[in-house]
Amino acid sequence: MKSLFFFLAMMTVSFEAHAENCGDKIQGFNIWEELEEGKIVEKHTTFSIEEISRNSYFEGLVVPKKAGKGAKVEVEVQPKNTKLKARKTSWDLSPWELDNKYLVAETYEGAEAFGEELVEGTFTLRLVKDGKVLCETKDLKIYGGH
Amino acid sequence: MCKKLFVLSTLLFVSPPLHAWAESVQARVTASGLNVRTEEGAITDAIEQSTMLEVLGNHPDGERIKIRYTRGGRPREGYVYKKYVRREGSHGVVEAEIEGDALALRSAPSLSNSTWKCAVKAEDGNKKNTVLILNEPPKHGDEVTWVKVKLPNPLPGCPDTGYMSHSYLKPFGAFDDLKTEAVAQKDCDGAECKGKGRTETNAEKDMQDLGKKLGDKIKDERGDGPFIAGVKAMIKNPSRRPASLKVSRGMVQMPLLGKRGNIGPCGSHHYFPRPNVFDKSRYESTAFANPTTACVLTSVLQDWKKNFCPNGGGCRIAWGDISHEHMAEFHGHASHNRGYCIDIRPMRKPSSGFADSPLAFWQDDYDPKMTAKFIQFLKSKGANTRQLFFNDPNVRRQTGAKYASGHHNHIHVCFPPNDTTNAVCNNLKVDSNVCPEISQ
Repeated sequence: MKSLFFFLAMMTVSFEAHAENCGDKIQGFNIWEELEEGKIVEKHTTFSIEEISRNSYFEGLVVPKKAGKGAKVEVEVQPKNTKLKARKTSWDLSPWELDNKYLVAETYEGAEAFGEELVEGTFTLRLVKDGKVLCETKDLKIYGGH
Repeated sequence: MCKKLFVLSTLLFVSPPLHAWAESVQARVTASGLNVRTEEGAITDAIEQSTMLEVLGNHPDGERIKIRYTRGGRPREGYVYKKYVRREGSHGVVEAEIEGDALALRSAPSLSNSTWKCAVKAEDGNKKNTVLILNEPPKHGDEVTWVKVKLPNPLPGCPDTGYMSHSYLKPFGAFDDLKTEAVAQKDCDGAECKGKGRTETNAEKDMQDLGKKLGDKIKDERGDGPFIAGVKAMIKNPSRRPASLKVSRGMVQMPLLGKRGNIGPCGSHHYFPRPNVFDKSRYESTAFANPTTACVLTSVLQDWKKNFCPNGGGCRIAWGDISHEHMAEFHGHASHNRGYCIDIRPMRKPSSGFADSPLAFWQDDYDPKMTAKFIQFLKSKGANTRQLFFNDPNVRRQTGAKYASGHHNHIHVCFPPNDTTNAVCNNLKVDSNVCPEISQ
C-alpha cells in the first residue's frame, strides 16, 4: 500500500515536470509586403517554430487568444558554448491588431531574446500563466551561421 | 631657322595656355594604345600609352569621356573609353579614400599576406585618410582585385607601399563630377538647340538634359533599363558609380521596393527585411551584390518567372542574404562577404501559395521536384558548383548540390564573375512585362 502511494506520487511529480509540448500554441510571425496590381500591400504569415537561423527568423511571437489574460511567453536560450551565459526573456501578451484570433508577445525583440548575432545552441519556448507552465517546447536548435 | 621659328610660334599659338592645363582635369592613357572615337563611336585616331589628355566631360553613355589632346602640335578632340585612362591627381597618381572603418595593407596581392598592424583607418578625427594608387595594373587573386598603393603618412614602423583590396577604395579618379557633354546638333531640333538670349547656365543645362535624353535613349535601345545599364557600366569600369544605383564596396544594391524592402525585381521576395530583426538599431542592408552577380541574379529572377513560374505562388523566388552594405565581415556568414553568394529558400508546393516563412526540406509545404528544377536552372546560369549547397539528399543526388550544415532551409548559390556568368549578363535584356520594377 505504501509502495503504491509512493508510485502514484512519483507519477504526479513526473507528469508535472514534463509539461505538454507547445506545438502551434506558440507561433512565429513575419510581416511582409508585396505588389498587388501595382500597389504595395502589407501581409503577415504565422508559422510553427522548429528552429531559428538567419533563414528561419521570426519577427514576433503569437499565441491563440484562448491562452487568456495574464499569460506570458518565455524564450530560454542555452548557448552550445557553456562559457556563454544562458538567457531567459518573457513577454506579456496583448491582442494582436493584425489578427484577433491571436495574442502577441508585446515588445518582442529578436536581439533581446537571442542576442544581436545568433550563437549556436538550443532554445525553449514556454507559455506560462500564474506561475504554471501551460506548455513547453524544448531543444529547438539555434543555427549560428553557415 | 626661320622655318623653325615659324613652327615654334605656331605651336605656341595653337597650344592651350599653360594655366588652362593647370585648371583643367587631366588624365593619362594607361592602355598600351587607345582608340580615339567620334561621339558615335567611329575610330579617328589612336594615342600612345602615357599620353596626357585634357578631359572636357562625360559622354552620355557613361562609359566614355570627351578629351582634348595634342597631335603634331595641333589640338584634337574626341572620345575615349574612360576605363583606359587614369585621372591625374595632385601627386601624379590617383588618390583614393577608404570605405569602411579601416583597410589592411598587405605586403603582396593576397589575403594571406597581411600586415594588420599597418591597417589604414578611413578617418583620423574628422580628416579622411587617402592613399595613392600607383601606376600599376590591378592584380587578381583570392577573388579580390588588388592595387598597389602608397601611403602619404604610414604608421611608424610600417612600409609606405603595399597592396589593398580595390573594392574598399573609392578613387577620386572617376569623372562623375564633370558635366555630360552635349552630342551632335543633328540629335536636337529647332528651338531646343537654337534658342537665343539664354544664359550660359541655361544653355549648359539644356545640353545636359539633351545628353540625358540621349543616354536614356541608348539604354532603352539596349533594353537594359537603368539598373542593368548601370550594373553593366560598373562591370566595364569598377570605379564607376552610376548615380541612380546604391553602390558600396564595389557592390551594388539589388533594387527593392516598399518600406520593409521586401519587394524585389521580377516578382521576387527579399526575406531579410530592414530593420535587422535581431538588431533594430541597424538598418544595414544585406542585399549588396557584386555587379556581375547582381546582373546574373536579375537574369535568374526574370527567366525563372518568365519560363517556370509565370503565375507566382509557391514557385516564387524568395532570396535573403547576399552581402552587407558596409560591414566587410559578415559574422558567421563568411561566404557572404564579397557579394557573390545568395541565400534562396526552396520552392513551395503550388497548393501552398507564397508565404514569408521558413521552409525546411522535411516540411509538408516543400516541393522537391520544383526545387531540383530550380537548382538545375541556377547551374545553367553559371552557379559555382563547388559552392552550391542544399541539404535535401534526394535533390542533392539529382542536382549535384552539396551538403553544408544549416542548409536545410535555403539554397546557397554563388555567381562569381567568370566566362559563363559574363555571357549570361551580356545576354540579359530586361523584359518590361516580366520585370516592370527595373525596366524604367
